[in-house]
Amino acid sequence: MQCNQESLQMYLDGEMDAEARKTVELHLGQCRSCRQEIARLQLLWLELGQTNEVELPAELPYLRQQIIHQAMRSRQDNKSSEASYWDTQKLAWQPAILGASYFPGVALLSTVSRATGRQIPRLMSGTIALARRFVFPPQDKKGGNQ
Amino acid sequence: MAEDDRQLVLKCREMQEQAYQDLMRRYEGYIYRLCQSFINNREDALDLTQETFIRVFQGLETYQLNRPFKPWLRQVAVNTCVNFLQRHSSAPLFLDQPVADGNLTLADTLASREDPAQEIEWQETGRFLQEAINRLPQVYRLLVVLRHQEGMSYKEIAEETGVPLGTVKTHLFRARAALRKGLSTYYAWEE
Ligand SMILES: [Zn+2]
Repeated sequence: MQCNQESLQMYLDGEMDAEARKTVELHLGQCRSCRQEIARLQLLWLELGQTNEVELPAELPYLRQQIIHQAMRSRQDNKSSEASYWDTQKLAWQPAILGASYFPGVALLSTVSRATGRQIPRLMSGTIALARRFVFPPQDKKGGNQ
Repeated sequence: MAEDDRQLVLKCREMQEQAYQDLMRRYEGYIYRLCQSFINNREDALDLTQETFIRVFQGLETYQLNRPFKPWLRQVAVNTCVNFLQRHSSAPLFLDQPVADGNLTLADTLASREDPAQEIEWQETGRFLQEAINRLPQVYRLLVVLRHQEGMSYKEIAEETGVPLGTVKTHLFRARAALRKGLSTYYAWEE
């Protein structure tokens, strides 16, 4: 095995099969610089595993009331509003995950943004101003925010 | 005795407000912190927390009761945050080609703060490292958080984010190589 930082990372991540681990361990036995490197990576792993508990915002309980109110109302309203996110979930993933080479085309993307864009702001109305986030097609502006 | 998640979900389906309260109290901190660690912005994290729970409550009927609730909830949060990042990114977020390599230099993870006068003195590695993580491109940070805070495997991350497995690996490698360089400077290690 050549010295290889990626292998050391995978080793520490526990993402190697037994044979590959053995190869790394053999190499570590013979290579001082990799032993040093893995010790440094271990320190990094240790630090990355520490939880960094940020303070919770004071408005969280208020937000909770808003959300529950919205959620219960939208369930009462019946299913008309319920479909969108869960129906387009799979579709909506596509633009985010595909590289440019297999980008499915602008048509799909705009379909998705219309489907999700129309849905979410209506539910959000009256809460934190989310509108700036969504690029509404003009015909959706009214329904989106009122 | 605290009710388990499954019981609460059932009660939510029956429109019992107390169950909504209990479920949110149980998980709102977790979801807020998760969003905050992905996005590193308080207001955005609050919005995304809201968006996540609204979606979760909308989708309660699709939740399978025999599955653990927390990973399902997390999946919605990750999905919501990835979509958020996508909306705010001019290029596709995840590319197999190293488009982000140019940004991911030591200078980025270390000293290139907007205002050098405000530079804080890092007193402990954790604080220093948090700064370095915050300077990572958001997509890298998201993967680092899922790996190291949520303890997910490459495969689980790929499934949960929809990012191809190979891309998860290369992005993680690059992110941590950059952080490791940062540590090296911090500790003045000899290379
Ligand atoms: Zn070596």
